Amino acid sequence: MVNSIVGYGCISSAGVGVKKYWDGLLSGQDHSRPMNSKDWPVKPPTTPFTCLAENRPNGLPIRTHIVNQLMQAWEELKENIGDPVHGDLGELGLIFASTKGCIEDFIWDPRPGDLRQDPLTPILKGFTDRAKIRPKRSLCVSNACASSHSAIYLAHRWLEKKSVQSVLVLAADFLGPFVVHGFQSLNALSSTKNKPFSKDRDGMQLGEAAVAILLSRKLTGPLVLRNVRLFNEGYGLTRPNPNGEGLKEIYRWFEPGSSPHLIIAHGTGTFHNDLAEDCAIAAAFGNERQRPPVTNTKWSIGHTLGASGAMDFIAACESMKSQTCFEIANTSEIDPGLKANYLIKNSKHLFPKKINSVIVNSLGFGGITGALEIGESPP
Amino acid sequence: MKQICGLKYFRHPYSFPRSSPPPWAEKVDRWHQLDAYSFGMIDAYTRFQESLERPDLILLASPSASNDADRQFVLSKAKSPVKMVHTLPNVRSSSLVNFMGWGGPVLCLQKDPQTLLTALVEGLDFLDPSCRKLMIWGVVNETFFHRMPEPYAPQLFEAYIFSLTYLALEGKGDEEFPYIIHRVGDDFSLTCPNDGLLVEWLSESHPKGDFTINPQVSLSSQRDFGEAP
Repeated sequence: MVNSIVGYGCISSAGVGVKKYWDGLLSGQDHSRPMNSKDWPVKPPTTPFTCLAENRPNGLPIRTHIVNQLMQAWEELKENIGDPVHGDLGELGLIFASTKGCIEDFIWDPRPGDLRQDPLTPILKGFTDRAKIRPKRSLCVSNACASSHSAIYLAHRWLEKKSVQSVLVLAADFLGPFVVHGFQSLNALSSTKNKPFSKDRDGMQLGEAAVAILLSRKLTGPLVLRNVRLFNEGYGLTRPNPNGEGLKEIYRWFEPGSSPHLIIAHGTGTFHNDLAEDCAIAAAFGNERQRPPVTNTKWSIGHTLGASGAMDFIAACESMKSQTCFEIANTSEIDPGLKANYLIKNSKHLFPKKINSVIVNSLGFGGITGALEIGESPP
Repeated sequence: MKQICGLKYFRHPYSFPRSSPPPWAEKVDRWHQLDAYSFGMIDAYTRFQESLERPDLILLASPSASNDADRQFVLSKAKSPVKMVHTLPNVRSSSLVNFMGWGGPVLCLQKDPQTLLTALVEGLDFLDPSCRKLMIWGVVNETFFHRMPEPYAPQLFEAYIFSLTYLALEGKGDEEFPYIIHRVGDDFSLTCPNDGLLVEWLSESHPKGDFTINPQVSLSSQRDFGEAP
């Protein structure tokens, strides 16, 4: 069962639109930067979208702001494919994926009743009202940093069961004091640059993004979602199994004996994440000479948390459309303990000759692991 | 399409924090660092373990998401890493999954005030010959859920477990299951107003009539429970 990737749109620290994001990846631009909650609110960024919070009009509720960002992504999607609201989408499903960005409005000083309502559903409702769409079914998913993969997993299932014709997956996260304080408390943030798989990696940079992806049962475009799997390995709360057991388990469900032409790794730049992913990739694609090249996006736009899988999904689609890929531009020297083939700085000669299949990984707190495979539409 | 599923429902009230270690403490690494939600899930699992089958999928239905844990982190002056990790609502399943020695897909869903109901309908949609059993877990702080907050009351929580089993597309129910869910067609709209009513109906010792989630999905009781499960 494959589902068509009809279109997508996004806003990130690279700016509004897929093109700016993609151009940034190709040209090695790092739009992220260190954040320190001691200096909150943070100083104006070097680029206008590094922290979307700073572009928020004064006094606008954060929930409204997130809906605005999602609307921008949705508008880009519609523009790219022709307005699907008036087209042949059929019965629509809607899934919103996010983590903690939606709580900043109330969590510091809650009013009575604020804590009863989950923070994601009002955003889902706000979006449907603004976009004037009436989904047949809708839902919110919050599976830590694998939230996007989880939403796509659910969408794939809805389409497989033929309960809807199309699913719009929305993903967004927002950086506020809660999230930044939280990651600081875990000592997970780099004070310099995000350098995934580097020998001197020291943590992640945070970023923000809002994404809209439209999937359909009807094969309409050149790209399809071939497979998507989730696995909770339950190893630890904040770190994956060092042997990458969760990802290995997922890779077993993918087509045996075939290697993707490219892997977009989760690659947070933390010691444990990168080690676990490397182990899984090396084990699944055991022949060193045949191991697919591995790249990632977080060095450019930061870790966009609940939206990160969706941003990587877009990068995978753009790689296939343009038949090119991008380096991990902040990483100059690979950790010698790692075994996979990483596309670090100045590795263009290692780019794959053709890209007909891309795997995108995602790992989240709580032991949740996800991977999806994008391929060409069958003839 | 007509689908029939068996439902077992378990309800586990508890208070948190505990002053003494639970019976299962030795089996969980740093049990004292669990938050109220993770604690309650393991506590409920150990209580009902004999009646629960290993699932192909776990759905975490999180009414109020992790607002409670988020607030606890804020009250720690946003500095406690232990409290931080529990601010992600899916994390509450991690210790349970480890305790169960289980691995598989876990989805953490939200749609208040119908999070449990929505998860039940989603669960029903997942069930088929390739996914025959699944668990839906919901843990709530009672003061956030269907009861009014009582000032100065101790923190009371409840864990809800819905164990769903695929029975057939047609035919009669299975007597093993106290509740049977009938589904006709694929309408996923929810017309039942909120989770509280579902919990109330399931908690009756003599449920009268069926519980209708929407015109196409209804629950019926097969037993007289005598007392609430």
